[in-house]
Amino acid sequence: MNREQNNKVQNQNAEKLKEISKWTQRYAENRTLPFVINMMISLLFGFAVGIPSYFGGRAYRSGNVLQLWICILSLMIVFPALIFYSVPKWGGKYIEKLIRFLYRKEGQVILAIPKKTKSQRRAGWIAGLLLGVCVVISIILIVFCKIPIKYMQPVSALCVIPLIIAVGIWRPPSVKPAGFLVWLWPILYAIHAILVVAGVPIQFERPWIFFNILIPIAGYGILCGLLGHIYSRYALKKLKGLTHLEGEAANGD
Amino acid sequence: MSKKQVNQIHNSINRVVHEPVRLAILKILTSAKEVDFNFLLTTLGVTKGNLATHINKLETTGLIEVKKEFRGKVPHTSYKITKTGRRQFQKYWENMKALAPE
Repeated sequence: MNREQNNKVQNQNAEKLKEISKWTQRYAENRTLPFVINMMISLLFGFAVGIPSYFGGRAYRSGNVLQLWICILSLMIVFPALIFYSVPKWGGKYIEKLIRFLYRKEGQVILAIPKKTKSQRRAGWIAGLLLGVCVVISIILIVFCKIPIKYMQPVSALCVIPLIIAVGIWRPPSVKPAGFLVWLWPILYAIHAILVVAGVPIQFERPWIFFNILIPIAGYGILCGLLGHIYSRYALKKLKGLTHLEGEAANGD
Repeated sequence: MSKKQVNQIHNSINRVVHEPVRLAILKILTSAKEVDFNFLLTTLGVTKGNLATHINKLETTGLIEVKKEFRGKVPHTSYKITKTGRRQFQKYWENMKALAPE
């Protein structure tokens, strides 16, 4: 290889090397399957608690003892399962195993948590403060203003959106990365709230009214997680292409 | 840059780092805190034996740190770049930049 060819190869490699960092990070950040799985399980638990609670209440009011006991027994199974799932040492262990199984072929990549800049820390504090204010406002709206039940989702948006933003900015080590597409989540939830206030018929009617918060939260979360997962496929493909550097020996010598 | 300076830089290039697969491994490791064998295998598209040899070379020269553990009954190996590895990679990068034509 003459010097000119060598320089050309080195330049190509340098360009590829610059990109490797970017795509490794993008891939690692968008490995959103853990997030999707956790959202799906949360949604299932939402159904598992909500449905027997509703029918149990109805059975109690109508005096249907058998139905009431079936609902109580269901909840007696669901609650310990929920506690088991929520404790990282118990259920978390199995979720971790499942995630490892799903990523067994791709392997594992852990990103270093970058030190937060002053402005990021300030943004985190502001989001936290905003969350506190929004929680107080939503409590006032619910308790004193007697907001109709159909506006549950917009009122919940006051807490959910700042919470997602605050967690996204702070991102404690226990929160697995969910990719930049996770920012789409509060946006979709906010759009949903605006549409509800505008009177667009996207709400569940009685008796499924309690799904009006659960389904948008989990649904938009899962949607963003899946988009993140699709993006991670693209990032991995890009990364595979970039790691094939040109050069001399490609053996272990 | 004089021919002497170019030769000097050429001589100071770390040959362990200069090899394409090892260079890609080090670059991935500089961007992540920790990666495992399967991840490198997937991204680099080399054979298991080839990758193991490259990793061994990087480990023996102190550029990367190998962590072996059991996850249940399954062995799991992950890799981290060492301080020396990071320094050597940085030095290699600077040398390459110096050699690049204007």
